[in-house]
Amino acid sequence: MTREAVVKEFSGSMPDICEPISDVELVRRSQSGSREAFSELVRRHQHLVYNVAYRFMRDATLAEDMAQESFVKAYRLLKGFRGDCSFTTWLYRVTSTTCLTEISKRKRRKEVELTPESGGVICSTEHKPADRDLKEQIRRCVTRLSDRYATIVTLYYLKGISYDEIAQIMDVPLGTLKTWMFRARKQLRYIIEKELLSNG
Amino acid sequence: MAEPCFPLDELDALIEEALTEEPFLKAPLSLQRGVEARVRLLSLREHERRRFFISIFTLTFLFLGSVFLSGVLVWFTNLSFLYTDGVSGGKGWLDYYATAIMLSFSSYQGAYSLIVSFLLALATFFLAGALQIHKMIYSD
Repeated sequence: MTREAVVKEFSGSMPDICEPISDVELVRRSQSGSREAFSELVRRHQHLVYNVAYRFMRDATLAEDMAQESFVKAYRLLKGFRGDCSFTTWLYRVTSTTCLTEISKRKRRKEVELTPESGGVICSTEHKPADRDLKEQIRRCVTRLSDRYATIVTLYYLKGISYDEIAQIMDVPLGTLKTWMFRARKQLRYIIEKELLSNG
Repeated sequence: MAEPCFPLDELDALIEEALTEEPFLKAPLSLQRGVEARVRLLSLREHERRRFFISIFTLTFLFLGSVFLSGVLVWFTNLSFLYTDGVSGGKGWLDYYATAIMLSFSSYQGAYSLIVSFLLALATFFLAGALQIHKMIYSD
């Protein structure tokens, strides 16, 4: 299901009276202290934030925790949001930062990721791993990229986010972003190759 | 060493496929409820924090103000005069008026009552204003 389809489907559950209010207006009201306006922003953006969080954390429970954390952080920082970029762009930035901070904390604490055994990529005649497991393994490798590369790869493959928007989120020129993307792909390929070979 | 499932030449295409095909998930229903509960708690905490700081600031201000005023009064008070003559003798005109008021208090009671009434009315007015401002600050 595409991002647009999910957003459209879920937007249908709200009364029409809420639809004409733009994000800018809701942000303004939230900045004035309206919790209802912020709830509406959460309702509109929860799927995007959850998906960004999921792609970083690769775990549904952790993704929900991180999505909650990101929204709470956004609520606290909202007064400082000047509207230089769209609210969505700003929210992506907050979510990415929140997830990356958590990943760094976990790395420092040396927490071991509980990956199911079936997720291995070793080939054998008896137990050939399912195609989706290999793909999941590849997706997990994205989180092992350096912070900025993990962010741009995650955001790029989240449907609907353009290079321009990612450049805005990362606060870098478009040319730099393309260079980073090239390097990120190269680094990812290297990590996956190493992973496949070490599992062999 | 065992061979990986896919030849490394095909890896790029596989990576692209794996990342592009990742499904867009629906957020769990508990997400919004959780966020709303946490935001409510956050607002309450912020409200309490603000109230605490305003109270502390006001109390500190009042305490320091009274300490300062007491200090000023003691500074200008000539204790030996106060002991021998019943007036401090160190505050010049202030002493003069204070002594005059004390001596003539019985004959000017009405006027003093009037002044005190005015002062009380003024204080009530300021207090009501301050309470209104206080209410505006804390209203959600």
